[in-house]
Amino acid sequence: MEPVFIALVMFGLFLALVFLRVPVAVSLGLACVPVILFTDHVSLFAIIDRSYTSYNSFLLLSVPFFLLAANLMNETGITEKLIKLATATVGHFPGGLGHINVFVSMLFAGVSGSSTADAAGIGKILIPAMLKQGYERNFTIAITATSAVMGVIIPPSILMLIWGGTMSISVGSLFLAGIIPGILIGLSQMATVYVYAKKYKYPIYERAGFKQFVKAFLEAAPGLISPLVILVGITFGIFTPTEASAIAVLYSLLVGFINKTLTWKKFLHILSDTARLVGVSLFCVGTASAFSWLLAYHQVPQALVAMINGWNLGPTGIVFVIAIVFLIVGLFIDAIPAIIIMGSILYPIAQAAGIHPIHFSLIGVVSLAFGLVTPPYGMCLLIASRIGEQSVHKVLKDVGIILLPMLGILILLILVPDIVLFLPRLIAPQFM
Amino acid sequence: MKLLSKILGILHKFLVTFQAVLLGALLLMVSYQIISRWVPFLPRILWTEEISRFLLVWVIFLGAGIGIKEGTHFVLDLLAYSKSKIFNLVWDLFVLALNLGFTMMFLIRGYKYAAVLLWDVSDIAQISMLWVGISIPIFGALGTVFYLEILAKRIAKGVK
Amino acid sequence: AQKKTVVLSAASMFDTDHPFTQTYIKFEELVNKYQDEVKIELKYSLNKALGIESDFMRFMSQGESVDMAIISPGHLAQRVPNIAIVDMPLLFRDLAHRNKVLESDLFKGLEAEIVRRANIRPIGYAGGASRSIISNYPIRNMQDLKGFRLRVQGAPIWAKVFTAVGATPSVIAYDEVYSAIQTNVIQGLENEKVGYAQMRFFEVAKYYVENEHSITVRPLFLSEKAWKQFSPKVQAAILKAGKEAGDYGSQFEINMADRELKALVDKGLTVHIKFSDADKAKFRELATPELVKFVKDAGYHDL
Ligand code: NA
Ligand code: NA
Repeated sequence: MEPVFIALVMFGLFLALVFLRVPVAVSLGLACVPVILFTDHVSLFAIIDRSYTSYNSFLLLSVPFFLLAANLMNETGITEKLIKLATATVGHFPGGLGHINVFVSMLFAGVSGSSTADAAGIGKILIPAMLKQGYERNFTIAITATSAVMGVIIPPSILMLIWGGTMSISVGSLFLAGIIPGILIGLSQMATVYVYAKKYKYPIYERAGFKQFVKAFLEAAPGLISPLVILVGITFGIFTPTEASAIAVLYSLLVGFINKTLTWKKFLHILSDTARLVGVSLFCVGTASAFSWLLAYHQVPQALVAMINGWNLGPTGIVFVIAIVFLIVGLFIDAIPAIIIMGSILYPIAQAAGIHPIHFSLIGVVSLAFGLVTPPYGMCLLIASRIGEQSVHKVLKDVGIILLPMLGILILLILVPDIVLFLPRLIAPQFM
Repeated sequence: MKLLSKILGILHKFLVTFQAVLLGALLLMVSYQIISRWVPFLPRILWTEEISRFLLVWVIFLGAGIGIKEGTHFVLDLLAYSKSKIFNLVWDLFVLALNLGFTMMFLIRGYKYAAVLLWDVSDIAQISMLWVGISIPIFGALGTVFYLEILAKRIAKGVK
Repeated sequence: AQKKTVVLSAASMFDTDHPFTQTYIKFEELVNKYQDEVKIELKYSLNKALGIESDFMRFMSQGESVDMAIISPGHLAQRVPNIAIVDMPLLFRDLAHRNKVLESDLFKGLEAEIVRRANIRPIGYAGGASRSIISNYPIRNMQDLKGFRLRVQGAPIWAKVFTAVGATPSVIAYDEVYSAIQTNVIQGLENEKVGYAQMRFFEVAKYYVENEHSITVRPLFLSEKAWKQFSPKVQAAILKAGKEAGDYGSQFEINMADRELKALVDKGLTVHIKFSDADKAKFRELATPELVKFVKDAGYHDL
């Protein structure tokens, strides 16, 4: 069968099932079934095998731990302290809570490796608060979801970990490379909030005094130290990046028990909540792996590569194509299997075009991060909409508006690789 | 029906507790792996890497099963419901049938898959891989039972 | 009459230039030369498109998706525990010894066991490269090996042997090895030259310490289901072509390994250290008690 035909059937079926309200994870699995039945050499065994095998991976272990660490931060008050610090820093800008939402996501991103935990933790506190102050519901949900994508761009990051692991690219350098792009995206979002606030006359907080700021900073300090623990630990080889996620958990536990904001009972509760979230979100990885495996079996990726090579683009053109491919793939499937399949297919193209591996990787991660808020499969968007009790499609317009300047940042990163490469070159030149 | 619902409720509670314990064990194991590397008198255990992966497999499959019972698997409501209640009933039943087909595939094919693993021994800890693989049909069975419960409730609700 | 065409799906984790892929290509050429009953055509799935070697094993065993693959024997240990013996360090004295063992009756017994338990059939043997130590500091002799923190393969015998020679082995996922060395969680690993070059381990571990503690055997497998569809005449051609393709692949790998390592050394990216014969002997001496114990437990005596 022709690769293009296979791709159309599978993506078409997947979309149809999703529209019917079949769960995304189930849709990915079921969309494989007809193609499998018409392929002589493949049976349903493949779906079972690919799901099971994809879970049996040490790299994926960082996911439950980063989620657990983030949930602990949410439940033991670290997140609240970060929000207070954000309030003292940017609360007096027009659209105060909107800026706080973005700024605290930046702080949270530095502590956590996961965007979904950011959307859930910050969303739970800030979405009700913003609604109460009269912010429009769709905007509130949209800014919560989009600001959460910084979680995987600003280090530490689950996506970078898996990216580095599967392609033998330095995770440390990737982490460093994510800092400036992450901050730029945060700034672009704050600019958007400003425009919204002016247009809809959103409320502001009083400017915090210096004393208040110092107090907020000191209270938030235990949370802010956590990224230091992680970065120092990885840099000095005390643990691997995956193990760092477990360290983040232990650290959050320590802070919680010392502050007495955590009891054993509460801990067990958080453990159970996290375990259930892990089950639901990683289950998708399994069926998505089966989905992408079947595409690979029918040589769809090769067809794509042949097509791209046929266009005779220069390096910049290739990076644009890579970004577009990840943006499109990110619409439909989870970022992790997207990395595993598309990353290793596109990497040789990037290398042949002379694109720096760190530049290639970061463009890939940022593009996939967009996928966290784009339908039909955008975890952050889904989580924020669920918290804000709103249908996803009603939020899309505002998400689109916030994404526009972010797309501008992505284009800037594509055109000027030095923005990405500056920090790794400065701090870890030996790895470049 | 009520009794069955009650039994499934108890099953759900048990699963939730068991799954949390597994994640806790996972955390302990990876923590020990790091600590034993740096504390000289602690023996290094080679199988932590392997067993933690196996625990993750269980956490995911059980969590996916629990997610069906709790209705937390991500569903996109991109199309609005129809005004016709009969149409909606048919629609819901159709979707449930698809979901059931999916979990039954994991039950039946997963059972076959796990049966083959019975003779496989894990690389490091040398345990039978059945201990890991059995999580697949267990997910399939849980999913099937929970979807059947949802189906029964939906039919009972009818076009009301 | 029109010859029937049979498509076999061959999978590999590597690209076209890798010795394994070259072995497949050679096989395809030879198998059609040695018989003219059917036209055998290979469909190549490279670069991990269908997964990693342990996945190929399960697919072939199941009789679907993958018909042919070269797999490190370690991946079969789950199903055929005795195969671990083939993957054991220091098993072969040299390449000639290895090739002799592969043709022995003892090995035929093992092959039959693989067919029975794993439902796949070895039709040739690639590999033949030596495995050595890769580290981020110079290891010039056995003394330098003391406390060397390295990643070893999962099979317990590897950890035992490296503990016996004074190193500190730990098991880390292969995907994490690069990061782990870079961050000094471990100081190195043990691997072939081709793996060293292709996984770009030289970026984080500059020293290739040639102690040659093992010579690899990388069997070329055909799934039993694919095998059974052919007539005895074609099967004979498959075995002949498989053997020759395996030998070709071995030679290709040995040549490529030296070429690639030399290129790295010339570019100043790698320091190539060779263990003296005395140090190699010392390594063997320290490891022997563990190996003897292991071989006894497995029930083999006459290797
Ligand atoms: Na982060
Ligand atoms: Na998406």
